[in-house]
Amino acid sequence: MAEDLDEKARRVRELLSSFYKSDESDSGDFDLDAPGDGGVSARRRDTLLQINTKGFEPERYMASLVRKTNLPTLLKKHVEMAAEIKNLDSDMQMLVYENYNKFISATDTIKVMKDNVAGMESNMEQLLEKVTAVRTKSDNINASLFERRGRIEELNGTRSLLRKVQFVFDLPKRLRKCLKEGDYAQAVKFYVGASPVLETYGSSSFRTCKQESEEVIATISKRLQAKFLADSEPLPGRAEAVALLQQLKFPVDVLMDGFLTSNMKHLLELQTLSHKSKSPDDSKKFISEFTQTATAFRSIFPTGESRLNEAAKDLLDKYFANVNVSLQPEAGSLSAAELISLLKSLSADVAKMHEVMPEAGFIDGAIQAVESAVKQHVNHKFKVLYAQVTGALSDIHSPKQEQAKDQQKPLLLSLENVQNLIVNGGLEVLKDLTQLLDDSVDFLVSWRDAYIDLVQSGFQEFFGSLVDHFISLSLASATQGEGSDQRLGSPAPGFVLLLSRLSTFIEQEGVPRITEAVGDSFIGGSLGDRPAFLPSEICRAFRAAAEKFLRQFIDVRSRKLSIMICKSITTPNWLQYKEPRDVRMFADLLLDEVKGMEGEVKQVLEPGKSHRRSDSAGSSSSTRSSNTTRGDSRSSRLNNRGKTHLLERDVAKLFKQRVEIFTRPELTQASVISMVVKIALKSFQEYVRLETFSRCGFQQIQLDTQYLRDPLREVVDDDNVVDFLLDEVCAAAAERCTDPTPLEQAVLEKIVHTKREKRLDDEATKVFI
Amino acid sequence: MQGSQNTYGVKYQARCIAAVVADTQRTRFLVGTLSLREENEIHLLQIGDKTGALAFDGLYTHPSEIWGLSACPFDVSILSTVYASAGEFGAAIWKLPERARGAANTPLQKLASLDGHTQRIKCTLWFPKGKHHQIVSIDAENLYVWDLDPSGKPAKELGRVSSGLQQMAGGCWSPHDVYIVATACGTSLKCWDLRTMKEASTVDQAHAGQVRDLDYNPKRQHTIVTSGDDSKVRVWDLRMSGMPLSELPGHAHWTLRVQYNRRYEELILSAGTDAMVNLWYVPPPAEGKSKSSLSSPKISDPLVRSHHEHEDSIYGIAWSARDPWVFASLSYDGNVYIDYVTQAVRKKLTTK
Repeated sequence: MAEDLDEKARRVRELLSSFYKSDESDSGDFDLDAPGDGGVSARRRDTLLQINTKGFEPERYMASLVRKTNLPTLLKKHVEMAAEIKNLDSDMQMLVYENYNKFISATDTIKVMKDNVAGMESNMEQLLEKVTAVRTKSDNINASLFERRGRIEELNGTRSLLRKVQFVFDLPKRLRKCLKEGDYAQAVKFYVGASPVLETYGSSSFRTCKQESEEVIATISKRLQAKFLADSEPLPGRAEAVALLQQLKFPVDVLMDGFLTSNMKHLLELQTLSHKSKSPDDSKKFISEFTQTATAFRSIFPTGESRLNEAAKDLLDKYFANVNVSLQPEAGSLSAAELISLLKSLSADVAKMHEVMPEAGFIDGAIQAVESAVKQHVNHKFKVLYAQVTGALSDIHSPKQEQAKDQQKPLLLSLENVQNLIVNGGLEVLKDLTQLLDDSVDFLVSWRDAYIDLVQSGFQEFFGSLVDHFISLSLASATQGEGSDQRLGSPAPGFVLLLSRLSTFIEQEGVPRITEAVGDSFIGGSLGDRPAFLPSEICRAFRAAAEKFLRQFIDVRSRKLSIMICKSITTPNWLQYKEPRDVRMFADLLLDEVKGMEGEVKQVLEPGKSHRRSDSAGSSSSTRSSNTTRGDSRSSRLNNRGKTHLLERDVAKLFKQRVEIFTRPELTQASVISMVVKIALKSFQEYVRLETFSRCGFQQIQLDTQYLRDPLREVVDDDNVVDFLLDEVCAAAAERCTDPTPLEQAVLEKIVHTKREKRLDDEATKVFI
Repeated sequence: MQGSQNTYGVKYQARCIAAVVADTQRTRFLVGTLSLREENEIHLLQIGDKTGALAFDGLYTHPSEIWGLSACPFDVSILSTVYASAGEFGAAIWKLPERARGAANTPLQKLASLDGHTQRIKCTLWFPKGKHHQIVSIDAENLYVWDLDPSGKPAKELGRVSSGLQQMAGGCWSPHDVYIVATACGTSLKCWDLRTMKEASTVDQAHAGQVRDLDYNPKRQHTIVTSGDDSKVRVWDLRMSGMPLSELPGHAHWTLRVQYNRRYEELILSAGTDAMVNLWYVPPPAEGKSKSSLSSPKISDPLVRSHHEHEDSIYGIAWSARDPWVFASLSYDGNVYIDYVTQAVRKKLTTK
């Protein structure tokens, strides 16, 4: 209705507006008519137009209309206007009617509604009454039933209990029936259902019942176990049996263990067999068995995956242990090739096993095992090498040497032996290990660097411990040497010399060669900051050790000689010495000792530079002449005693070149022997200086030194030193002599000559024997 | 400081030099000669205060060869010698006589003699602390304790102890415990208790050869330095006799003499038959670590000075009694050299 109203109003407005529009155009005509007075016409137009606006002023409109229009027009206008008013009136009337109608219908509707509501109120009241009645009745019932309800509930409980009891009593029967029918699942279901009751009352009321059912269940469980164990049974059946057993609270773990142990044992046997036979068939069999077992286990024990993993790991450990066992030394020294084949088969096996059981961490385990196996292999190689070297050394060192003395050059042989051992052994180990690197197994690739490091540090350690071993050997032999100074031919000094030579050899040849070989195939690596194999460090250690051993050898040898000299000087009473007839025994012993030492030294050391020997005839004559002048000077000194003595000595010294006695020893035959002889002769001089001699005593010393002169010149590198030192000894004896009259040169030479011949004869007979 | 003349030659061969310990005002040394056929002498040498030169200060004649010499620690004019000549031997206490001007050779005045030795005597030791009349003499096998009678009678023997088969070569009276005398006994070092006349402590196999000399550390009661025929110099703690506290390479041949500096225990002087005098710097055992780290954190060569002007074996060395930086050495050919501790070492010791 409202819409209609709106529609109507709009229509009226449109109408009105269309009307005024036309009027407007009319007014335009007015403008044209009266062009002279534009402002008034506009104003008039405004006034005329304003008829339809709010601010319409009828008076002014009228006035302007009257003033501007002529009568006919005015009349015409009047008619128009009257028609318009009429129109508007009828329109308004129509609008009012329409709206009134609507109002009336609305009023009607309200009235109807009012009537309806009044009817509903009474209905509601009726409803309330009825509900109240129901409630009171229900209350009444409740009150009346209250007393009995407890009782009823009690009875209800009793009834269900009785039903259960009945079930329990029936249980054995039912179980038996199930057993007969083989329906184990049903039986287990019954038993599990009844078990809480049996649990609670089993000890009292249901004893027999419980016993019986338990017996039956035991039978069932036995059958189930049998079923599980029967390999012929299909896998689902076995799995079901296990599930049932689990429901019966049977310790399934035990079953699992049993299953696994038996199977794993079997597998292990297979594995060991395959390992021993090394045939691929056995290996394949092992793998297939393993796969079978794993599948069977999985289907039987769906929950036991972790157990399976454990067992598999265990198996793998044993497998690796097996591999390791064959790596052990007692299984014989294993070459790298064998190791490689072993590792290869292992890697293949493990890869297959890994496919079956990815969670068991076979790969990790295998890598670890390979690592440890290779490590062990490397360590073992070095250990064997070390043991060989030390063994060879201790063979030399051991006092069993007595038999070896028959050989021409025991030290030389052992030196060569040990040298070969170190270099060739080292190279062989390296070669062996390189093979492992070249022919690398899958696992090796991942830790190539670590392996290189391992080998390098292996060498480092090997040489390090070798140096330590040398030093400890030298110490041991040193203490032994001290204790057995008197014992001639004790092997210790020679051994120390050997060590010295060996150390030099390792420093100058062994290490460079090994370094080269290492550099060829084991480059890189070095996980740490610096390479694990440091040849310079090793060389330094060996050089220091070599020097130390050489010193020690010289010390021990010269000490031995010094002690002999000491005995020979301190024992006799020089003041009451008899006319010397012969060279004393000690000189021969001394020469023997020097000779022994020479033997050792010549075996072990290089000859070194040739002797700086002047023409022997000339030198001997010069010695003689110096001797005579010395004798002269001595006699003159005796004649004019006094202050010229010191001057003379100084002058004599001036003419003699000062001989450097104590130089740094080199590792050559001549240098070492000279060093020992020099030290011994210096000691000789010092011992002589501590004594006081009679004429005969002095002559004896003269004789002894003269005898020693030539043989000692033979062995040292610079015979001037021997001359000088022996002259010094003689001079010292002369100074310490109350009457230094030297022996006649002829007598001296004669005695020395006879003695020398005798010694040569002795030696000849010795050799003959 | 190094004087124009730091050398002096006695006419004859000589083995003994001793500082005049009692004289703390001057640096004086006594040198005893060893001449078999001429009359032996004792030279008194002095380092001039101003010149720093080693000068002759007195000459006294001594009846026989002097094999050992030690100055009395409390009287400037008293000394003891060990002598031997052609089968005779003995030890005696002497007094330097007042010297008449112009007289060149004045005989020594004999105060007492230590009679009764059956072996060649090696050395005499004066009581180490203050004025005391006890003196110890050591021969190859026995150690004697004597009481000196100032009135001139022969010394009275108070006791003796035998070392057994091992040859004794020298000794040192402990400056810390006046009842202890340490001796070089064969290859070992033995300490004797003078109250009981028994062995107090011993270091077996102190050297591979004969132990030649030993000296007590002036600051540490149980520390002794030894030298021997194996050319080494070793420092021992008597309470730990298994291993030496430190070992110095020593000399190329025998090391015959070794002596601590009286004031600075770090300085050890040694001399040997290789005609060298070596001065060693041995830092004290690490008790105060902070101290040692302050002075020398790096391990340096212990040999701080090597004197090699001698041409023959050296049998005597002596520190000056007055100036701790001065030492004298005597070689067999009778040459005495004075040498000094280097400035670097002095600085190291004094700035500590």
